[in-house]
Amino acid sequence: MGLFGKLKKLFKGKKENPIFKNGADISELRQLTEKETLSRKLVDNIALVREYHGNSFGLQIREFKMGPKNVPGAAIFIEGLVSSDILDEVIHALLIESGKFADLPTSGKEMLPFARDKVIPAREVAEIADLNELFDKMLLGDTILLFDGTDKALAIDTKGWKTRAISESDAEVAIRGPREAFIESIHDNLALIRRRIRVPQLWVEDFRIGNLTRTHVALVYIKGLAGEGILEEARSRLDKIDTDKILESGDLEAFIEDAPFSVFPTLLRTERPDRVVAGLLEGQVALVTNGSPFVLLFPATFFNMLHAPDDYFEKPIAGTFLRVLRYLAIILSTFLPGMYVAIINFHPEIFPTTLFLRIAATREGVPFPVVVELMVMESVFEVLREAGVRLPASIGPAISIVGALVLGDAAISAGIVSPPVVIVVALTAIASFATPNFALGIAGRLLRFGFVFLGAIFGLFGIQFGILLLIIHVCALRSFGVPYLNPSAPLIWKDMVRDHLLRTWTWGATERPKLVGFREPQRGSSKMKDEHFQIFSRDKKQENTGDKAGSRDKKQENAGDKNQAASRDKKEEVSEGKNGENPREKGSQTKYKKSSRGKKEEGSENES
Amino acid sequence: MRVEKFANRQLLYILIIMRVTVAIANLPLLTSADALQDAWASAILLLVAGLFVVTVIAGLGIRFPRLTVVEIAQKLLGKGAGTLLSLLILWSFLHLASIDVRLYSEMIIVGFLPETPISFITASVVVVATTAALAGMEVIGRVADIIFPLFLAMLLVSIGSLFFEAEFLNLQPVLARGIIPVLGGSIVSIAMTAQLLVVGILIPKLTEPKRALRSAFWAILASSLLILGVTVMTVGILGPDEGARTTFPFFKALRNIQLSEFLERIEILAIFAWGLGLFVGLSTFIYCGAQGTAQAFRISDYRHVLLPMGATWAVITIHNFDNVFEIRSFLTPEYMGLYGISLILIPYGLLWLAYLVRRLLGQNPASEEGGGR
Repeated sequence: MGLFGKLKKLFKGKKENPIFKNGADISELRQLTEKETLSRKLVDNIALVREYHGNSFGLQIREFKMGPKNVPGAAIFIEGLVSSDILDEVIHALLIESGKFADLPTSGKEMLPFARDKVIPAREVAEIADLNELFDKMLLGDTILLFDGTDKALAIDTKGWKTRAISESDAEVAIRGPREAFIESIHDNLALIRRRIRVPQLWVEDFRIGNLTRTHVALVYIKGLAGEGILEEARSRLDKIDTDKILESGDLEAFIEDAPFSVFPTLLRTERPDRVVAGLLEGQVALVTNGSPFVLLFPATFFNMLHAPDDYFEKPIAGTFLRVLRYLAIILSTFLPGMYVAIINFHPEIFPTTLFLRIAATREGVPFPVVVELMVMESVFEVLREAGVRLPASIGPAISIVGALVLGDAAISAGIVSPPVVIVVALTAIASFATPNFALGIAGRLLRFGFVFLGAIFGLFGIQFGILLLIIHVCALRSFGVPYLNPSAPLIWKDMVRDHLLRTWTWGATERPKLVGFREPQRGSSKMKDEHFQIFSRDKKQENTGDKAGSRDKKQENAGDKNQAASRDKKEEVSEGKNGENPREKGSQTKYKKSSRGKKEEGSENES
Repeated sequence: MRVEKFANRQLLYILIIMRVTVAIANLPLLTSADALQDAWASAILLLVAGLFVVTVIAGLGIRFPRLTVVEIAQKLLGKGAGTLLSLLILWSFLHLASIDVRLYSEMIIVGFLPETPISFITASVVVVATTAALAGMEVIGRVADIIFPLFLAMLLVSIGSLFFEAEFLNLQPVLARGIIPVLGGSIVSIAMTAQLLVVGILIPKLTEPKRALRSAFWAILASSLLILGVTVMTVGILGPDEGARTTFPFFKALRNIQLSEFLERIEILAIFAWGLGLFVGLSTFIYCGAQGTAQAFRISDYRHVLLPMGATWAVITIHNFDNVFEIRSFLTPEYMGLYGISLILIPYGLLWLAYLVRRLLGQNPASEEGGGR
């Protein structure tokens, strides 16, 4: 007991603290912590910290005496949250380096600012006055420095804990593209983003969410590119959150998503920094959550989720091919089983006669109707898939043997299921793996079962009803004010061709998506397009640029182009303002466009 | 409540889909009278008449860009008379929608699911369309955005593949029997332009109400050309007599296509796309009906009216006709001519009269409450 017992007595004598009754609940305790302030006595302060933290294991209190007058002080920190290198340096400075100062103060009150300004070598030192703040800093890895005779304390940034190394993403694999993926530390994740956008306009807003977890959440955006309306909406949704925990960005997603009852994700989650940066550059906003390698991007659209990073890094023709392939795959994976049931049950005439006869022959002797067959096989596959995710890697191969051989082969040779059903299930499974976004993939998996039922009841017409309900639902969804099917409904033909149906050349994609990047629609000068889009060889043009008169002509032409671009912008503004698809943004958007137009006209005047 | 707006482009798509779906289902140009091989001339007549009708309807609408036809009627004719008149228009939405649904259900039952009770299919259709209407006009507009390309592709592929099989000698003799059968053949289709009454309700929801007339004009032009194509191809494949006798001539014609050795009987896919298009029309009808009713009786939100209306709709669909032949006998010039006159000419004639009289008296009814230019 020793010192501690003595302190406790001292403390108790001063005022009655409800903590000792052991009756206070967590919310009461939290409120009490908020009320406490530091006192002028070092022993009291140390006792206070000990009481409130329950003298927990790992709470380290290093007491010392400083200077010729032996000013008592203490450094409080949590083992494991602090970097011992930095801490050693701080203590070294306090105890040894401080001896070099001739004007070392004699009281704690003066010592505190002196230490802050002259002695402590840490990167960041903050002055704090109450217990809540003290714990806030300390439990984040700061070291608290207390001196006798002052009711202030110093929080020294000594954070340093083990984080996972930055490694490749498992969930989002790309053949070509950066290999780095986010990890669990928010600082590392923000650094990964910052390293890729080196302008001061990359703004990061800090939020603390969760009453007990006090999780750091960072709202990242490019100021002046992300819509103010979207940001405001995001801030207000974040501020409204009242919960005790945010363990993962999934917890956060649940609070801020637009359609909680929909199977479709309205926020894009990604592990890839390049993906986040690409989104930020289009005017999207990112939410980085501490403790989660998944960053949320919004406003996200359906097509965003079907894009993979490879699309942009491969050559455009290959990228377009892969993209169309992926669209087909997700259509296949959602509708194929339903279609199969519908056609076999109701419309066999669609099949060529020989094919249908073949299928009918294999179904000979199968005891179940085709719906049951398909549902069973689909469920088996889903179970296999789920088991595959949970299995330790060492017994992974076992499941594929059991799944493929025992279930597939044996079920067919026993005549319980027909081979075409197995083909359908396998095809569906393969196609569903082509969905780049896991959350969207799950939506497809769920909907598949619905379509099998509809196909079994109504045939193709049931599937038609299903598709219609699906279209109606998806059309009604919005993500932070942006329609979920953005460029296809409402139809924005330019965006659709440029980055959704096809993937154009990077130099050709000179404009941002209209509803997201409306504040600065132009990505680069449209000159790029003219320069690169040449069917004939480039030699002629170079000759021209050598010629002075020619180059002047060209300049004027370009100025003309710019004027045209400006007037085009004007038109677009009118149409969008009236379009009303994004009423929230209207104000800011027209204001901004005016100014950008002004700039452009100025520019062109100068040039001509 | 958020103000719903949808783009003029979407109105264009909706009108095209709406006009074409009904016209190609049972092809009244061909089946309703004895125009026979001259049905294409009826289609041209339909185009002219359609342009006239759309001018009458949208022309009045764009003079009151913030008011629906219900409110215009109440304004021009007074509360009581206006409401009565608008009820006539609102009834047409429900009735036209029920004809559409019945045709669709009959086609499914006759062609594909003979043992399914019709009430089941009708109810499903009604539920789906009402869901869309419940989501609002903005969503219907976006649905149209998605479905229109599919619909158009289906139609063009069908017309294109029929082109190679068609026997164009079937179109002869050209106009040998004079103009009277041609007129007779077009009456039903012209009366079906009562569908365009939806424009009167939709104009204030548009992003650019003043350009509504233009969108509607293009819609009529495009849809009439598509109908013309379908009519010519159907006559070319089936011949005038068989075409006129068949219930769903276009789909019957499609049965004859063989894209290759192993792709036959693809008419189900055409019907699939056609059905998708049909729903766009249906949900627009039911939305307009509910919206108009809500305005006529000063109900704050059209959604309150929507569900009872959907139920009524399903009942009308099932009980109005006993079978597909009753629809066929309803879609004859004798009935539909009157129908068209009473739904389009009478209400809009009165409204225009009232409008012009007021203008002559020196008032500008549109200028009040900032509705006009």
